[in-house]
Amino acid sequence: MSGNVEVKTFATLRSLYPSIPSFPLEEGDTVGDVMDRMKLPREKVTIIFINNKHGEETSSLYDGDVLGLFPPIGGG
Amino acid sequence: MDKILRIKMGSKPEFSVEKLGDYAGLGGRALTSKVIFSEVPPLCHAIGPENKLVIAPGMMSGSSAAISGRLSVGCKSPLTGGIKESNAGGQAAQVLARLGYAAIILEGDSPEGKLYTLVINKEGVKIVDAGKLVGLGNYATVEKLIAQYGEKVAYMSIGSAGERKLAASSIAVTDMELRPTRHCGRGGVGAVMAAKGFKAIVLDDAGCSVRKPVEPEAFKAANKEFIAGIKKHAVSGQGLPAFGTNVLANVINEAGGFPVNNFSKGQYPNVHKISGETQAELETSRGGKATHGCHRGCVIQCSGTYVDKEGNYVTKQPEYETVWAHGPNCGIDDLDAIALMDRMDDDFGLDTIEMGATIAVAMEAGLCEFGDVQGAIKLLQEVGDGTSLGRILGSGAAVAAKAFGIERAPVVKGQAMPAYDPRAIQGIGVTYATTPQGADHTAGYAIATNILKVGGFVDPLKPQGQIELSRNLQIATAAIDATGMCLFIAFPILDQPETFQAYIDLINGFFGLKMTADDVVALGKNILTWERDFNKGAGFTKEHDRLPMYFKREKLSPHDALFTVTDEELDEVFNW
Repeated sequence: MSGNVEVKTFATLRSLYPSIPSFPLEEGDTVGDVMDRMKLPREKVTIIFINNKHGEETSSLYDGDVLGLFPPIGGG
Repeated sequence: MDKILRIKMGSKPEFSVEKLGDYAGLGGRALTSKVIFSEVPPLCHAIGPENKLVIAPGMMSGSSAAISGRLSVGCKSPLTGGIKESNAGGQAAQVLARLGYAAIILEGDSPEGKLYTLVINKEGVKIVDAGKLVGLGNYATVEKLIAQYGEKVAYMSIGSAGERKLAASSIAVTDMELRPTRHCGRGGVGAVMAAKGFKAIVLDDAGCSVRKPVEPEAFKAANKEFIAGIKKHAVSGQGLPAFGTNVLANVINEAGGFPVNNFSKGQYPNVHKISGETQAELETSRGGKATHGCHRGCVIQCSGTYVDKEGNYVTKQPEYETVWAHGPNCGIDDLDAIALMDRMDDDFGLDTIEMGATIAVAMEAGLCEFGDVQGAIKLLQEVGDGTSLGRILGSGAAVAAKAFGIERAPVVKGQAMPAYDPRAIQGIGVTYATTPQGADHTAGYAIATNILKVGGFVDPLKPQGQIELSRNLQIATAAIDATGMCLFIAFPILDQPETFQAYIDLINGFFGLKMTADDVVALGKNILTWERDFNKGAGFTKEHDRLPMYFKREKLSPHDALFTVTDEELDEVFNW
């Protein structure tokens, strides 16, 4: 174990993959690893935020990080 | 669409129907901006007799091309003092195009300030006294018009704000349910319609048919491919129909670019109370609709119907910019209050972005506290009532800030910024600063690439790459605005080359042309050049292509972000 992250999900992801206030991290976890353990298919997520900055599937996560996951969305 | 209706107002209203001449082949924003550039002296007063109001359906409007019902209205703007193209959905573009008019040009001024109704049908044109419509809000105006002209008609109208010639006044366009909910909102176009002497326009296409393509088979095939492309893209096919434009609240908040309390913070703790997800759930649970089109032929259906707790209609689904403007930008997290203010804006005939931004400025000035729902509603009512305070507020954020001694007027060229802070999303800051329209997100929607990862990715917090991004988007947008296509086709055409090709094939099939992507780019550049040349004549210089200086000085949380694109870089946007 190496801490926890908060995982927030939005839009069409939300009903099947609800937000998780405290998700346990494993050593060396990336965003993709967390999605895999949530059973959230990676292709459903196109916009990733880590602490309010854009991240990637390959971005590393650390204790206390806040992860925001979005499907493709747009508006304006 | 082979003729122009020119209405000359003066001691006696007159009209003529003209051939297109030099305007042949143009539509929408291309036509409105070309007419304003060619015919209006840039130094004229926006509500004086030398200004003109041009109403033009898009090139493809009135055909069976999908999602082609956008209407452009152009003039010299009372808000910015520069050129304006203000764009709305609703039914008017389709109907006007089927009546055969590429544009209506209103010119001169109203005799003794009188107001008229312009009635256009297959038989011809009538200009009749507006009579008892004068002084009414848009909802009551349309109700009376329906009683007289029926339900198979599209209506355009101004509310009390337009009649008072306020700089934040809009022109309403009726939707499929004949409600005045779709607005040419930005830039004070309602005031210009009033100055020309018109309260309402009745567009009746009874007996007219759908515009026919020159190459029916090619057109039909391209339309099928175009629709398939829109539907298969996750944004236009799923996200927008399910949650509407307000699906953006969470993602812009997550990015730290969601302006709160008059652009003083970049995140709103109560965003969950006003997000698109919450709004759609609330609408559906009350018996409203979360998926609905603003005009016939829309295949995205990003709108909806907002009802109260008893299930009674209040307004259309408030758009993201409206929810933000009257919500978090004023510290308000109450969707019912936001919907009420949307209804009031539509009824008085006001731009929701400008009004939300102005109320936030008034809150900063101490007229009421941030978060004071009743205070905000009262301020808006003042505008509807036409009190002295209401007239200041109805003149927009820049005027209100000046009147109340506030530096923080989030405006460019006098027009309020929409729902994205340019410090945390630098690409949209470039568009705000440089578009000839005044601060306008739709002029070059850098959010797509800065935040939503559509059309690639450019880091929103850094200045690198923003000039090129905004330039390309401004060119593409100007061209799309000419076609009458909804700007939301940009999501699939930016990501899917086959959908972009279908879009070009659709235009080619309709007109029997052989345009390429380069021709589309050339059209966009021409439009921007006409607009910038008009503004130059009106006294605009490169020094007007700037954000207010506090965006370079006051850091925005959570990123402590400042707008860091340099002035020299901004001056490169139109060096193509």
